[in-house]
Amino acid sequence: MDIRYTPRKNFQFHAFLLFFVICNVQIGVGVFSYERYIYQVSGHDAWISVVLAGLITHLTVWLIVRMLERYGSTDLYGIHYDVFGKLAGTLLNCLYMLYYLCVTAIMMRNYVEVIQVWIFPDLPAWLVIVLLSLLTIYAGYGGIRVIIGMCVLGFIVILFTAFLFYSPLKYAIWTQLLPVMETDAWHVMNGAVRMGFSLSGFELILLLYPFIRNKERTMLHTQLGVACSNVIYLVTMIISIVYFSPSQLLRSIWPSINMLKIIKYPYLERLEFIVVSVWMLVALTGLLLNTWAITRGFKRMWNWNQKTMLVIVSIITVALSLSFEAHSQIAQMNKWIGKWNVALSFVYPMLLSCIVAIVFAFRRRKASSKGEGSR
Amino acid sequence: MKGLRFISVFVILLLLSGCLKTNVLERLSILVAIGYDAKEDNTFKVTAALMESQPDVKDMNRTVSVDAATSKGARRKMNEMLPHEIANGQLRVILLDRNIFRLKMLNEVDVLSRDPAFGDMVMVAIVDGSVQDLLTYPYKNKSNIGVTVNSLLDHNMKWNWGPLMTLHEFTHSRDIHTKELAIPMMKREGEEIALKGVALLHGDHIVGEATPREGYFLKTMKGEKTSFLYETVIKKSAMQASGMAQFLAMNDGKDEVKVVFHVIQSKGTIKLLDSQNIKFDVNLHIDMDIQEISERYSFEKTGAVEALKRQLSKELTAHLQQFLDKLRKVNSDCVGFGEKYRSLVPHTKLENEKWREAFPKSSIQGRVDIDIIRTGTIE
Repeated sequence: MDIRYTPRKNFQFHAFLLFFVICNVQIGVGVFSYERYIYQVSGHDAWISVVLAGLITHLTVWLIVRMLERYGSTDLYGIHYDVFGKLAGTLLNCLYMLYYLCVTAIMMRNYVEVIQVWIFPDLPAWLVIVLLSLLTIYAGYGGIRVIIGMCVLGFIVILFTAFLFYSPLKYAIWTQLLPVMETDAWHVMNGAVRMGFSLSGFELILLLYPFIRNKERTMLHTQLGVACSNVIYLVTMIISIVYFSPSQLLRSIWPSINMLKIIKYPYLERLEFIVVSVWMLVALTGLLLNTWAITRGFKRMWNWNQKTMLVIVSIITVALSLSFEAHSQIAQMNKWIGKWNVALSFVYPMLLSCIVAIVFAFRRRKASSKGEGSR
Repeated sequence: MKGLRFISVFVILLLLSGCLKTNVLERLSILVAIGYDAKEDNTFKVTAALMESQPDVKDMNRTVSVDAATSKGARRKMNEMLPHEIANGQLRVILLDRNIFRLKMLNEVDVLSRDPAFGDMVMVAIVDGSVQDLLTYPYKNKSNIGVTVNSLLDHNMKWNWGPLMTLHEFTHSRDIHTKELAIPMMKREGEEIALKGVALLHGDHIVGEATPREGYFLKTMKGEKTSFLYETVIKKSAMQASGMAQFLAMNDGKDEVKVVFHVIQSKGTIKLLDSQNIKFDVNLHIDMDIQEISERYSFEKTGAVEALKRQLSKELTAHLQQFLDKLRKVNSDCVGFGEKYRSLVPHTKLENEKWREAFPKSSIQGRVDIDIIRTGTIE
């Protein structure tokens, strides 16, 4: 496998599209339920946790893009090969692929559960999962550019939904945000760590990087994308703190959908049914990007056909997501994957970028000493 | 090839999604209002006002009453009595009788929010008397009792003194201990249904009642926008201090003047003056539009408006103070002084009983400032 990789021009895309990709993959289905998990530890200072986690995300993205810039045009799979050698590199790559597989399955199961609880209680899970998978395969066949096109559509959905959160503000009790910093710093940090599950996904830039046409703009648009999702998370967090009472928020499983319940127009009510259905576009982009990341690994390491692998991967995700049914199991899985999110989306990329920086410094010194020696 | 692929996908989609349950409007009994009467043995008498849309039937309304231990149990029993399945999505009103509060059976209302079909903006009201009687009485002039009750509550909560009490607000206030519930109360009087006042709660108990005027004060203090036709009677003997007496153009011999004004805008601010001894200061600012004075009043004379302002301000301050004292006496902090206190004093950890003990001992000073903006089309 070549460490550096430059795809053909007709597979490349412009850097500004990263904005949509990052927004979609970060917001996904986590935005429906994350509030209560943060609130559990940070109380009414949960919004500080969100801000904190957002800042850490910005830092991580900065480190990741700096690392990628050193290589010129490569992805995570290539970096692993370069830094750790073939064996360890393959193992780490497989770990990441497995991680993305789990994330895909969890995402799918979470979204399907929302559909089952809110819209179709009688609908069997397998049906929705199979339909979603068919859609994933169909769109995935179009390749990365089609996937990114879907992200643009998904962003429109996110944007319109974000405006709907205006309605709960009418019933806001702003004093519920006060007093600020009543929770101690440790719990606020803990809340920030829990944001990992919702904020992860931006590390896909590690795999998309070679496909960007104007790489010098990557940093700007990735950071903008992260900033956009941070703002959306912050706003929804604040609104849910002022709208719900503490125990209401802790009891409801999907606070964001609960807040949409109250929107009322003379000709239309109960918009959450529409939002949940249309949200499939957003959920789908997450599924697409994650399955693409997996098949990309097969292609890079062993040069296997991405389309065939997509079908196989989809079959595995269907099996995986069907393997748990009860809400408690899903919640358990979410918690478990949340830890991996923090490890593989935040901690490890930061670590890797440090390692890469050291390796590059080491190589440069070696090259210069060699140069001096030969003179 | 492409056509074949399209057709196969289409067929799969049809096969996969064709067998779901359908909801046809004509085959649904749409629930509009539901009422609970509590019985001594901790069961309910559940009454539902429904709408059915059958094209050939003239009377499209139906009310059914069943005995049940839970609301879902009631739903099953109602389904057994109705020609079509009940649909919950259009539920607008939940009515409760007083016994539910006495027998501590409020949780049954709380759990309604577990069902996603119920909206959070369903209105909650108390019925003075039996809910079953209010919903099943054979009214001559009301075509659908559910819709009537809904409209009545809706406009009064939105545009009048009725405190906004939705299922969301209900659960919200029950959850936190620093704020109590204030629920509008209605009553059937012969052929008519009327909103009578506001029930003030302490915990899950009804401890007092507030008049419409106090309902207006309550709403303003909570920061909810409300317009109100405020009616007050001023004794002539009390008018000397403000100087209002000299502007009464004709003396008709009565010893009191009735003044009615329309509240254009009002703003309430609550300030915590002393967190140690729990001292609050409540200030209401009201912009008003004079609608009626029972005697000719010389608005054109200098100082006339000022005098009226002074007098009304004094009257309204007294009314407000009366209400605040009443709240403390019955120990029902429905305004949310406790919430204000919690938000301003860090690490109070106001637990359930702590605030409820502290509230009656607190001191709250009310003051009303007014501005007379208009006097209608005449002076």
